[in-house]
Amino acid sequence: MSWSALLKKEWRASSTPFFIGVVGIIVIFSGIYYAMGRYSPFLFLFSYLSIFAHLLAVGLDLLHNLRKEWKENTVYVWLNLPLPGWQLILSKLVITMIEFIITLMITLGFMYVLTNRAIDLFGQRADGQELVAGMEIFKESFVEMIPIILLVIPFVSILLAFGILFIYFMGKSYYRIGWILGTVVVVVSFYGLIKFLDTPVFSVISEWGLIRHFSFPEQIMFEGGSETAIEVGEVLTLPLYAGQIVVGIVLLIAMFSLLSWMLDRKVQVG
Amino acid sequence: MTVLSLKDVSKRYGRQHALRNVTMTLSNNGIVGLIGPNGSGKSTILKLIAGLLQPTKGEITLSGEKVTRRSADQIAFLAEIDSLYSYQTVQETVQFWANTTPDFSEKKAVEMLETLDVDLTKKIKNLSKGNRARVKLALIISRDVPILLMDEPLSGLDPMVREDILRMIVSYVDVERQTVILSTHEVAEVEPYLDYVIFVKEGEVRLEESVESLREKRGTNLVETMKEVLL
Repeated sequence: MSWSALLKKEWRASSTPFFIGVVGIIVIFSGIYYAMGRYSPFLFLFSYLSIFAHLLAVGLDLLHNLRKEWKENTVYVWLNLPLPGWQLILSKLVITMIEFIITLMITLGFMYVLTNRAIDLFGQRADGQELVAGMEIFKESFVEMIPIILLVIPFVSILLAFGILFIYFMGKSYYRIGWILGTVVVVVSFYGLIKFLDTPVFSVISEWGLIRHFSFPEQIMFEGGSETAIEVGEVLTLPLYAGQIVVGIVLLIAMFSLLSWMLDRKVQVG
Repeated sequence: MTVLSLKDVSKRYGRQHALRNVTMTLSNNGIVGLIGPNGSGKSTILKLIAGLLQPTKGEITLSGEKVTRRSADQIAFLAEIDSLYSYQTVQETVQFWANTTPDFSEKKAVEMLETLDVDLTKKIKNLSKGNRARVKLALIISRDVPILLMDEPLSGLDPMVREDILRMIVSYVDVERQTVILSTHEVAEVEPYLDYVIFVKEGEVRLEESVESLREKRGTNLVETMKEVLL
């Protein structure tokens, strides 16, 4: 029962900003759709930038949610619930992730629609044959990348979110120096993690259980102005291993356990 | 028997000392009044006992176990400020507590709120200050835990609400099994209900004793004792 009550509470607390966000995304993408016909079909590229905005979405959402608990003083009830810290954090994370996946799917859907519209608009030009051919390759690469996007973007988003929560919890545990100490720890840890990804040790522990290969061009160049063109680079093939997913999940569980421990033992209301 | 123990507990906010070397032990003391002027450290003591603040120095234990936020299964805390989810109705709030707090009695809470004439269908944000205080107190008293902490439950309320609240505490708290620690300024008003008092000033416990033995030893009421100890 406690799960449904917590999830219901988190949903009610975050549903209004979520729906405002969804309407905002729809309005922006509709604007791009309209502007592509009026100004330039290349404007579809802006929709691809929104994918990167998703990287920080989970962290900022969770931060907003936690800050609200403190700001509205409901933290006295929230932290006095006789439930383990992992349950309190996970309920917030589950609702944030559901909202995140919905907006990510809407974004991917619009990206697909806008890419098709760019192909249609280029096709209407007298010199559009090469552009359409380039765009078709771009679209194929995008479709090929969707499983990777659905795997990598949520993973990186949660990783960054845990980093943001760690800094916030440090700030609530050690007052003035907590924020600084937390930021230093997160920056150094993430830097170390990036370095670790290039080591042979990481290859040994993660490169097992090949799931499939993904092929896509190394780069696709869009040239605007008087001579519009799309140039496609060399095709790269990257493997995806089950080991990489397992290592990623273990890392997230370790960070989540640390945050739960901090909430139970260190975080303060004041 | 539940034993709450504070051993040499200090708390600092940055450079400011809120509490200095507080040592005390409470065990089935009934209704305990935590009395002291503003800024004396009363709220800090209650938040530390609830595990909502961490001591800078010293240790707080409940029946030998170190107190943390997880001690919430044995310690209920009522904040002085509004801390309920304002978008919930009273009924939803009761339901939320019933579903998240295993020791919570929904029946007891609803019974209390109906006796106090609180509209269960109203949202928390639309209730009067007095009714919000009544709801908060009904929720906390409906928890079957050994320690109930109440931070200034009478603060800023009109006499009628204050009377309701004191009546609720006396009627519904099982003093044989539960210890209530309430901080207050309203010494004269709460005196008839208190079993034990702790006087706090400038972050230090100046006196702690049972009300009965205080009266016997000093031959004065609590207000007089407070004046002697705190002024």
